Amino acid sequence: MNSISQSVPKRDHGEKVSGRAVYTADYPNTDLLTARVLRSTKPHAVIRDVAVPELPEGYFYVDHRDIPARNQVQMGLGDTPVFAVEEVRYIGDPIGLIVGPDPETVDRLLSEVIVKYEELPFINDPHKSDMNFFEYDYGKGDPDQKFQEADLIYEETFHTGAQEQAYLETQGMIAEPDPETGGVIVHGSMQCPFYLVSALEPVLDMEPGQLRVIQDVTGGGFGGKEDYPSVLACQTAVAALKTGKPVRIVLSREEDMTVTSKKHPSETKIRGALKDGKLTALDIDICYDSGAYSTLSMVVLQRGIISAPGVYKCDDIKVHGTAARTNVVPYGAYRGFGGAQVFFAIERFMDHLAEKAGLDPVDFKIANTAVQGDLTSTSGRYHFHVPIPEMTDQVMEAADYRRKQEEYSKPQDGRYRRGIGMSLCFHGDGFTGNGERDLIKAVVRMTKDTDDKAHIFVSSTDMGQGFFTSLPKIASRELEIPVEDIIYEMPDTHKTPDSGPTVASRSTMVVGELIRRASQKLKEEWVPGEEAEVYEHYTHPDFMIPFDISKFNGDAYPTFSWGVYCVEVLIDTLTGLVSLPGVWTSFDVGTPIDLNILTGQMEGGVMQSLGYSSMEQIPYDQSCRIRNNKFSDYLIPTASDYPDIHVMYCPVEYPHGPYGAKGAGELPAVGAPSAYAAAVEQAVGGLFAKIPITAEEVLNAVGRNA
Amino acid sequence: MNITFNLNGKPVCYAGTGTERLLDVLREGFELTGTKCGCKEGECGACAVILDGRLVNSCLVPTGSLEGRNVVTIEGFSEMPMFKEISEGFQEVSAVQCGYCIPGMVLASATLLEQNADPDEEDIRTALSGNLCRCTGYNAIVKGVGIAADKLGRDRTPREVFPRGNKREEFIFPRTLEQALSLRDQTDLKPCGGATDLLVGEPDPGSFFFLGGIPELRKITTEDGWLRIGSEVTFTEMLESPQTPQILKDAVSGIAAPAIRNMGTIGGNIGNGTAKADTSLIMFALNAMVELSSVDGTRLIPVSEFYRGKNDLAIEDNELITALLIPDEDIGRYMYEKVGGRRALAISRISFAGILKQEDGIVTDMRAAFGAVAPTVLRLPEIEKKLVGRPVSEARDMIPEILDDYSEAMQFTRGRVSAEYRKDVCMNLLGEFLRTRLAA
Repeated sequence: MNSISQSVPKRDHGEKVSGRAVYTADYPNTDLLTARVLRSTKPHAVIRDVAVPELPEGYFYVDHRDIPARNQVQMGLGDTPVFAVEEVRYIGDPIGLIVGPDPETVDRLLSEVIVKYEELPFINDPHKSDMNFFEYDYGKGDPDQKFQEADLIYEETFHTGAQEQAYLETQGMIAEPDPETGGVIVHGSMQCPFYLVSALEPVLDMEPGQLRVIQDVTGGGFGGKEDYPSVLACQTAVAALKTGKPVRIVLSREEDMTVTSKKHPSETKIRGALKDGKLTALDIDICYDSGAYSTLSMVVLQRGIISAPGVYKCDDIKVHGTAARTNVVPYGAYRGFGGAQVFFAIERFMDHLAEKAGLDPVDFKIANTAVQGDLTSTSGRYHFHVPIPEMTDQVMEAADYRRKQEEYSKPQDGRYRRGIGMSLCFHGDGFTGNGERDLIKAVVRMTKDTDDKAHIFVSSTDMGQGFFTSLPKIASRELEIPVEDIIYEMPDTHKTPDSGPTVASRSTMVVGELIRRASQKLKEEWVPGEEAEVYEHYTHPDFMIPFDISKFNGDAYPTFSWGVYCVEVLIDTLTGLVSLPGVWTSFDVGTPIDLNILTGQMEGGVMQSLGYSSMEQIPYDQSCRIRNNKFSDYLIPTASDYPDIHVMYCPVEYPHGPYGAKGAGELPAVGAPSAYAAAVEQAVGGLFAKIPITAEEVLNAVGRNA
Repeated sequence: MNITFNLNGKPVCYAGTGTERLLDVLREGFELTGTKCGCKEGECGACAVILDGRLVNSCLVPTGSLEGRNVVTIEGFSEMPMFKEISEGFQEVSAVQCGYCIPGMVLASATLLEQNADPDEEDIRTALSGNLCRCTGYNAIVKGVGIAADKLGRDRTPREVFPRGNKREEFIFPRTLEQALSLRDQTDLKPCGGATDLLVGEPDPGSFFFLGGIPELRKITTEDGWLRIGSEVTFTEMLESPQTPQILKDAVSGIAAPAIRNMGTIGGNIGNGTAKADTSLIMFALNAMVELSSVDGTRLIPVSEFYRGKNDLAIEDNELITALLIPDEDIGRYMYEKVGGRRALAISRISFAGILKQEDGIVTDMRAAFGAVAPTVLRLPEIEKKLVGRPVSEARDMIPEILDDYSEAMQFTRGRVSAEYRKDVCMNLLGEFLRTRLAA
């Protein structure tokens, strides 16, 4: 084991375990105005009138008329307004704010606002959408020819549901006028401080120098605090400028679940050809429900369609993908970023194709898994070793898979039945295509002070995943000074250069490597007792095949992280309830930078993936209202639901990541659902092509296959 | 009202209406922001604090119930014995990720380790089952608690860490049943037990009166062939009492999670009026009586008559539920099953309780109760009677007929699950019950 992998105490442990950490909601009320958001109660309507009650002294109504410049939150196609003007497009669309010193009075005033709507037809089914925000086609080879030559052609359609990030801390933001610059200081719960700067610039018509964004201690993100904090930043900043005071919005749980982005529900149709035991062609059609605004759907869909053929080598493919507009909450980033949906589809497809062909699913999958040097879906290369076969062996051995698989495929009687299933996945590391080079252009800064402490200045946030601890380890190793002598404070856009957003499993691999190189530079300039400063800029790996996004051709990712999952289920045939006697996983994320932190990421991600497979769902009622916007109704796993998740590693070092590390955060949340479905399928029979799998569906399968 | 209580070992006074959430008072009044707000419905445990030695969700604790009691928050506990070992245990496995659930997790761990020196993995998972964490998958936290147990010594004799102090009945008003009945008669105030339902949503300020200070409502006694459970007995107290029938313990141990069980009362569960209440099902199965008291006197009514429909109870405006009375008898063989959306913190989607008594090979009693599938708990005495008096072998032969009878007679409502699913599961569980319990 590389010594960097040895765990160190987490830096934020002490303040968090004792309750001293200050989150956005924890700043005292005394000097802050509270803002609550007036929101649409209709899924699609024209606003005819907003009647605001007479406001007491010190209370304000803020809406689009108060926006200094452009009423547009910079994301996606620019269609997301800060405040709706004439039209509302989903239940929860923001119309205005009531702002004032006493939260209860603000609540009362908000409840007295009367909005008159003229309702418009609404769309709750992406298939009936009048508009695709995004639509892509790509392919390679000659799939039609391969279908003609096939021994077997199989086609199936797969569905996945929405998933709420369910971070424990709801979203919150504080904006205050900055007398020094005439601009604003914004701080709050967020993943990407510079995204907020970019969002504020056009809304306020201010220079970046007038816009200072600082991350507060952030209680979980999982993608959910990638885009929506930009909305809250714009709203609170407009209110702060109008009132001349600090203004805070903290969403209630119901509000957060109603209005913030979630994982896209999907439909994926796959048609595939088999010839001599090999997968020879794929024709894939993907539709993501995008919700009311485009937000991050473009990049989520891109990653989805690129990942859709899974870990398999297939040189004759065609892929079509759409992100359709509907009148529900805008869907956006969720850990895995479009990957979980398509890996569920392709893994289930491969299981079912193997079954049709009379082949063992695991053997069939391994025989078709890409190897180093093979072409990726976009005709890039798998430049590095693909460890899927040895990871599969590792997991099968730990789970005793072969024996169980055979035993559980025999007829079972009695109340409880068992099943076991496996799935494979990857996650492409970092931004898709040339994003790192052309869009992000990450820069890091390091300094040393006269006390011989080193300071890290990056915009990467720690929302629980441990970056405040793991990044200093890298600097400590290079500088050969104790990790305690590395200072890494909450990102502040006036102090740190833009090292990019904390997304896309890029922080350790990209920012970590930049800090490694910066540390080397700083070491060269190190003179005890004297100050020093260094910058380090992103360099694109030279081995990469240039990516052409218009053709989806080239290396979409420099490298991949790999995952193998095995899930065993125990099913109650009287109730359809599923329990999990065991979950075994193996991950290749390159060299672990801190084993405890990494294992925490893997276990937590797998847990989310299992919740997504089974209990987490977002049903809408007839009027496009989310029926379960509460923790008592949107169920996430408790400590009693799943067993100890076994996590193993199979590190394939990536030469361009620090000490061989690559992306880790999203991977565990990508691949478990198909293993879960396969296990249920073995236990009760039938075809499971949709998640979440409800107890009712399990029981129905028991009945059908009795 | 002025409420005086001990907060982290120091007496404090709070002036309010009694319906404020302790969570808000801690965070805003006392600036103790280590107690986090995650949901305000008792579902996430981020706001957990310790009240007289028990873990509770501070979002569901009304200030009016606090008089004379002891509250310990994470700020207080971080200065107390055991904190160090728990903190170190969590640190060794890097169990703290985003940190938002952690104060609640630490306190949940502390109440476990205060009482159990040698918890196994299941004990730990149960103790943490009311504290949601989205980051860790719980593994590291569970391991951290285990390490803390090692550090504290698994062979130590557990001793009290948290102050219990004064008994509530010495302080809370009303202190006698007479006072309570008079309040019930003369005011519109709502009687409040554990508040775990009443504080979900926003109550009108000052609209409660609290029953926790009335000694006779807080006892479990046996008298005249009845087990009498006072309406203010909490779920946890029922679990801890040797007098509680096992079937009731089975159901109560599946209610929500520890912090809710520590506060919720049987009177509240029954008075809530829903067929999803887990104790309601058991009361139906046990032929329990509801004791209702008012200034005019006390009456008993069978629980099956007490529930007239969904949220429609046979209780007068001036009456209080003062006890549940269960016949003190051996119930023979039983089966209890609950179908929820997950294994803790789950509202029943279907529940079933069956009781079967036989004597000398003859069925003497059969009861089948179905919860959460209709406006009230369902029992069909006409069908139950069919088996009584029959030899077991004959009764077994009648199982298909009995199932058909139920299938025809029962009407199911749809909710988070379909009516069809409810029916299928009820029939499956009933069939399982009859097949497994009807035996020599």
